[in-house]
Amino acid sequence: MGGMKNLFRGFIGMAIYMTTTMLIPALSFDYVDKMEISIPPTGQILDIEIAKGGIAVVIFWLVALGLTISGLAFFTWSSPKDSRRKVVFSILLVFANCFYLWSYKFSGATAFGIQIPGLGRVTLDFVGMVLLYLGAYTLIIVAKIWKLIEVEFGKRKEKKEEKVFVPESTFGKDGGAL
Amino acid sequence: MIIQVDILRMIAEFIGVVFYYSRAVLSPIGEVMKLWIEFLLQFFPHNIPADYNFYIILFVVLLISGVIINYHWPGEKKEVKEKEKKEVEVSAKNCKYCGKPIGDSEFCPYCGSKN
Repeated sequence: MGGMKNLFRGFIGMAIYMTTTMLIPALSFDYVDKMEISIPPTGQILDIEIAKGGIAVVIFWLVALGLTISGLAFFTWSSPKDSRRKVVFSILLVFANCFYLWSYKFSGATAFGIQIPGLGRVTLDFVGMVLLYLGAYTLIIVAKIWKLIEVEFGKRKEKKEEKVFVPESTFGKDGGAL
Repeated sequence: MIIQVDILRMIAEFIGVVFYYSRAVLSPIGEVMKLWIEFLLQFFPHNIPADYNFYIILFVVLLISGVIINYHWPGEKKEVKEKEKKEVEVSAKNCKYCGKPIGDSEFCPYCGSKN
């Protein structure tokens, strides 16, 4: 029964990660790529350029690494609380998230170019923000490793207590001392 | 509406301040992370247009192994053990007459009286 509960939790986790790492970003990039903003009064189109026109590369990496992250999220969320496998897979999940985040950079999704008619071109580069997030993820990895050590010590303590605990009765069924 | 805009501006400013001051510490760490990520990404298959086979297989393997592992080891062991422990604790009673521990036996081994 607990196994089913775990699996249900895993599927919820997977759905959350699929939505946040694949569906929403892919739809957003697709929308921004196709978006046409006309500037009054001339009605000229404001051209927003993502990944130097190579939106397919961005979508490929979003889906590829999003699938990996979703699989790891399923494993992590379905694992029992305070278990070694939950902590180990949550560390792997953070590593996968690092790859995912960096994929925004190398696929070109962090660089936005906006051509404003009559004024010139504006380029926005979010790579500094990605580096900031990568730094934050490093701290999360350190915290997770600490958690793994904590869980490991907890398990050892539990094993020691099991050895000390004597579940059998000291006396026999007939009342005589053993 | 004006209050909402003010709140949003406050949140944006707060996030901006956090980012601004943490940048000095976090960005260099991010640079280090960038090095190993770029090294490992060389080995990732990335045939474009869209060869998702490797990633789909990875996803399916993780999903199936997750189901199998949770089926065999659902993590209920601890709860069962605690239940057993409680049952034993309840059954370990004392003698009504002399007060000495008699375990789960009917007769006291010290005074011989029936409990």
